[in-house]
Amino acid sequence: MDTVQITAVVGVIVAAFAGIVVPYVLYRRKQRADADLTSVVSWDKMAARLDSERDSLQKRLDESEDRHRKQIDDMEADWGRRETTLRRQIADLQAEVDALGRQLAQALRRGGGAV
Amino acid sequence: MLKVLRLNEPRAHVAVIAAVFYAIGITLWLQPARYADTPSYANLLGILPQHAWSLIYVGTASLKVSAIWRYSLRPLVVVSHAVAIALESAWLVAFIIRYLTDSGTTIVNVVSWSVYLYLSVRSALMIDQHTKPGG
Repeated sequence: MDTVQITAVVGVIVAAFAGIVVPYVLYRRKQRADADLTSVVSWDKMAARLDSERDSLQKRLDESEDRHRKQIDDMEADWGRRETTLRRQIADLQAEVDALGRQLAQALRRGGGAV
Repeated sequence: MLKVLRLNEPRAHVAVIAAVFYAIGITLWLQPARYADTPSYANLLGILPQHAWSLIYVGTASLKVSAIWRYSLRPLVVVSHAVAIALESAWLVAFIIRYLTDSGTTIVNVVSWSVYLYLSVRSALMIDQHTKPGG
């Protein structure tokens, strides 16, 4: 077997090997790349994360609403108490004014003046 | 400069190899005597004549140009790389055998085809990072 024949045989084997291995390697790399891409852009995972974020935001919103509603209730109760106190004070002052008015009228009658 | 010439893209590698293959293919066709007079090519020319190798090189180069033109067509890109790597490997083996068996030859062709093979393998491995729909 001369070197030309050896070259031909080895060359064909190497070329055939490259012709099979190169597409196979590229095919496997593409598969892996696609798998990576699928895992990165997994719509199920994305949807689950968005659901979780939505639930978290809804919970925070509900808590905030409850807190503010309680503050409003507290303020309303406080204003109610103040109003009651003021009304009582007004009523007391009014009674005092009436009593003074009556005393003044009696004093004027005793003194013979006109009311 | 890198951006303008796109030297960091596989297409730049493919273009360089296509130019090399066209140069080899055209000179094999137009200057067959030069190859016949160079001892390094004796084994290869013993397997196929210059014009046959010329057609193979021009065909492979054209396949590479098609792959650059339709870069998003992955099967075409893969086939062009596979054919080029097979051809370069076969020629590299031929040069290695010739270099080992003939003291009248130099290492130059072994080194040259090793670099061509390296560029083709490198561009093949870079495909997935650069292939984009419609790209």
